[in-house]
Amino acid sequence: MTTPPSADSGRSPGALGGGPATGATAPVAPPLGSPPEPAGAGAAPGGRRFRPRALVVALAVLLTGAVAGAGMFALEQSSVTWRPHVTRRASDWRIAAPHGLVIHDAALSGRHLAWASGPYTVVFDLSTGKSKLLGIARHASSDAPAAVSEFYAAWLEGAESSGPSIWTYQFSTSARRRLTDTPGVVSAPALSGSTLVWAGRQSGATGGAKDGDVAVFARDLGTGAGRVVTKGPHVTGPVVADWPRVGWGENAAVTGAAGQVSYFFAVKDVGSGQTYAVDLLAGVTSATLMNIDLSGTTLAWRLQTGGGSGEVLMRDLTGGTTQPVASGPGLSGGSIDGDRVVWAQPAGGGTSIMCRRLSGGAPFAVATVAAGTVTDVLVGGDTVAWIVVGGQNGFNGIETARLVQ
Amino acid sequence: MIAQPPTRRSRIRRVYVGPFGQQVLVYLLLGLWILNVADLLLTKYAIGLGFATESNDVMRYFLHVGTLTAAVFKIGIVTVGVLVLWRLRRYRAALFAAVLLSGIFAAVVAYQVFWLMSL
Repeated sequence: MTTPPSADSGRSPGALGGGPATGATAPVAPPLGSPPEPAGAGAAPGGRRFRPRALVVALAVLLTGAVAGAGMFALEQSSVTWRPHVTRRASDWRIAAPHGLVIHDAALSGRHLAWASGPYTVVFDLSTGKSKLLGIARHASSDAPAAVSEFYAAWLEGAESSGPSIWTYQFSTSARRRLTDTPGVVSAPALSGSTLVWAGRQSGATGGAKDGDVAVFARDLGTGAGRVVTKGPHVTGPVVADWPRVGWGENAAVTGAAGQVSYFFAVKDVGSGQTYAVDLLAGVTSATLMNIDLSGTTLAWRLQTGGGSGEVLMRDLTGGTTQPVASGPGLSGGSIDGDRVVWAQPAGGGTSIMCRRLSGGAPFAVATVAAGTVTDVLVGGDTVAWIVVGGQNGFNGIETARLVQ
Repeated sequence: MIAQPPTRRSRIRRVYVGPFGQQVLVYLLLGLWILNVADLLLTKYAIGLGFATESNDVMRYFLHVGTLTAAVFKIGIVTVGVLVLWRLRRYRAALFAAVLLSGIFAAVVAYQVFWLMSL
């Protein structure tokens, strides 16, 4: 029967790499009761010698493990991944969601396009064609749209034990950051340049607002300087921003004598202090309000009525009245940047992606989608992007086009 | 046919490790310790990015308590394990354990590196 060597039977192990040199030239098998000990007299030769072959064997073991890890990663990526399949077409992009995921809640700002797809929030660089995973909503849905500007992306993510938090990603530094001092977020964030805007419940009663009232906050992500844009019992999301202008909803919806409803949307010019209020539901008795967007002093939005008909509307906040941009059945999207308003409308069995310049001219088709449903249309700079669900060959994704007119 | 009883030398070879095996063990234990630290750093980084959650309940508890506590626990327990294996370095089982553990750690760390690089 063999017995394990005593703690001291091997003497000192010496330096890592073997016991002291023995000077012995041939291995001598020890008795069964005392195992071979390199450190002792009669141990195998070269106990302290550096053995490259031992290092090679150890590295081979580690390499085998690393290869197995890489294999597991490759296997996992082949079945579950956030990375879209991207195809370049001249100056445009066709971005297909992977593994049957559907892209929704997209945002566009010049060079960057962000969207949610399953639990993933992804940003795409329109100049390089590279995608980057911003976040994975493990414990909260990624239904809240991400926001994107030329400098930052911002999105909401929740934790198991807490409410949603705002996360930001800076494109120039690739720094991803959770804003830990934004409790009680009640709206998706909005971005304009380096200014982040969101609505959240404030704690404590200050300045006429009660504890739990919603406030709209603005923060410069570069300097960290923040301010409260507005607060009060009627303040609610969504928020929009085109700094220094910030817009938010007023949930004091009023029903008129003729059954007409009102939903006021306020826009404040933080620079001048001027606040504008627009009744987005003026003149209608029942409609779903969608796609509220702000560019400069122009507010655009879409109304969807029960009969499937819809209207894309706009209003110059500095004066004038609400103007229809487009109307008809099956409208979708609705986005404004500069003097361009875009939307989608049915055309000849497919869907036309339309654009109208507010400075003048007739609406024109940017592109035509032959099959599938266009769920959203966005404009940022001279790029138009639209989300297609159930397109040709099962295409679910985003297509982009450059405005040439 | 009557099986030959194992000779004394073969029994020794089956149970014990020679100097070469011990030196392999040294490198494996060194690699194991380094990979453990790398695992801690990569896990912390991935959690900080918001992409990952610690799946090990014990480590999740210690990470919840604090990074230093988690580091002390994780590095401490692996250091103890490494020392125990080094203490048992003459046994073939210690070498097998080191091969298995360092291989698994290498796989885990490689997976994390590839995953973070893919972001």
